[in-house]
Amino acid sequence: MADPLLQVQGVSKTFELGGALWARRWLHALDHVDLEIQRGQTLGIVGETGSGKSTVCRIVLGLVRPSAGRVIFDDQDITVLPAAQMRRVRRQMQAVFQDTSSAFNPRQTVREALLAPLEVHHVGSGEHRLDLVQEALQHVGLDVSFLDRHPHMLSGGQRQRVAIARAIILRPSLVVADEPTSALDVSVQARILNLFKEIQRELRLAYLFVSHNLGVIRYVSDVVAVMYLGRVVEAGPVERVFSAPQHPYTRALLEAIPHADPAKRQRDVPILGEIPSAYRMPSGCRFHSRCPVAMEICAREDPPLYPLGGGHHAACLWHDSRFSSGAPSWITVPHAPGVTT
Amino acid sequence: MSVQLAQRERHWVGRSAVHWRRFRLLLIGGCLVGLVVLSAIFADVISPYSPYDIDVAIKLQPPNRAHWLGTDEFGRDVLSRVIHAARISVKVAAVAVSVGLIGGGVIGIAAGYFGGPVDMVLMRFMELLFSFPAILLAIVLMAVLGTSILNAMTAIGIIFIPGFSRLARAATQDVLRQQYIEAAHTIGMSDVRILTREILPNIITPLFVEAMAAFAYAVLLESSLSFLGLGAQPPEPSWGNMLNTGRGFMDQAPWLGVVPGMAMLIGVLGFNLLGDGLRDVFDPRLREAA
Repeated sequence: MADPLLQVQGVSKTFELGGALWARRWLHALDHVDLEIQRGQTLGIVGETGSGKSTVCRIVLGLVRPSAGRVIFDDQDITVLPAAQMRRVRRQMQAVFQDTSSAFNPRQTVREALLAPLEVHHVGSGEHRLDLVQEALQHVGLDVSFLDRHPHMLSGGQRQRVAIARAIILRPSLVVADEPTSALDVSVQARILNLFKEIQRELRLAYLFVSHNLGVIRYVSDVVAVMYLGRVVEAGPVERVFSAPQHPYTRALLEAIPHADPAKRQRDVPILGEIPSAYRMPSGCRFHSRCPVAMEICAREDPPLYPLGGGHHAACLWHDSRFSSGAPSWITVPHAPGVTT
Repeated sequence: MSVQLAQRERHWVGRSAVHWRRFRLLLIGGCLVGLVVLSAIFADVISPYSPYDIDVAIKLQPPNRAHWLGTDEFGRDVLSRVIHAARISVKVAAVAVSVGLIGGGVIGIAAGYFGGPVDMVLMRFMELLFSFPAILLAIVLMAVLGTSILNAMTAIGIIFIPGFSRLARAATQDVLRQQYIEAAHTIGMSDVRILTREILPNIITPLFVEAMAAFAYAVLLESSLSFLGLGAQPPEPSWGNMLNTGRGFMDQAPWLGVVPGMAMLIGVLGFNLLGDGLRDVFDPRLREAA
């Protein structure tokens, strides 16, 4: 595929946790993460709390500098850009956050909140700016009567609509959405998701869409990446990953979705316990301590992402040619080495 | 959402007994402060005599019909002097609190916003200032700056800086955790715009409330400095230097000490009650409990 809009290449992030100089403790939030988003497409990131999803968003948005690796947006490495140039790039890259109640300055009206991006980037003036604000409000299904309201006078769903309006008013090419529907009522969630899709069609936006909700990710994404403890453990086109998951973690996540049909309900617990803490990282494969199909070697060897064809990758040793003969039935034997995907 | 709506409907004036109690504090404080501030503003109009006119023929007169609060050792009218002294107190307190509010505000916001080494250096310096007893620090500053009313204002203002800076820093850090700051960064706002448009409006309320409380302390500090001869210089009247003079005549003319003492009580109590009342009205946690 030619010329992706955003490439995250080998990005790692460690946070210092303090401790004495000779016994500094580090938190490995991200470990060699590679991601790619094509123009106008949606990359969905799914994973449990603590998997590093939000850290990816913050690094892509330039709010946090990665400890290693590059973030290439529109052919520029934004991790090394000086502040002034970064400000220009920001115009192309906007965000929608999870917590709608603190997403807006409580002292500003909707009008002020929406004018701010235009003022910061010197877009238009006076009348023209107001036209743009009204247009953005229309895009998200709100009318001009909202202009003079303060955020606390709006519902969660309305606030998220205004947040989307704020994100699209500069006509960016990428919108990073970090759990944008998780704090909303289920009925409102669906409408906001549809709004995201409509706007994407109209404005040809690319999304980096983060959620812990598999249903949401499946609905909005073209490509999905599954994260576990700061790593991408499986990635690929959304239908392939959801119909034939190739990593036991993805499989377990999918099986954990409750079934409406009692006959199909899963009785056994697919994964055990909680996600391990990121500063006591398990040895070998990070998932081995909770994996239902772990081998002995999984505690020692850290699997790379094996290419499985069609852009599908999974980081499970069962895909290694040494073990594939005894693999569980759902494991697809990878392509021969050297075959590009 | 519904919680916020409920709060809006419950306006803080009236309704429940709790509200009335708070409002009463505010009212009493407001009246006392009003008395002091109006005396200060209209001192020339309302004082019956000039505070400087000496007439030894009527020295040390007890309160009588012509001189309601008596006369001092030079025959000056005590009522006129105590009214004019309010002017000094209010002026010094206003300037000192402004110095503390602006200085402490800027330092605290900078420390909170930039964090890291900036925070480290600024706050250690503030702790150094904080570690001196206030009156001792004021005396040292006055010794360095020289004795004058302007320097008293500066010295008292400097004493207030650490307190305001801590408050401003904590409030800034609280605001920084809000997602609208992250949103401001993703929009590409400059630090200056974030500081002035996003942070400042959201931390101004607690700083303002603290300023009211600091007012009472400033009045007290100014009086202490003048009492020690470091503030207002005679013949200019100030509650502090009047009290100091009155001390020497305590057995012959007790009104010379009691009157400025009472004036200080009214001033300090008034600003304290007003400060407390405002704090209660603006503190969201207390409002929640009511």
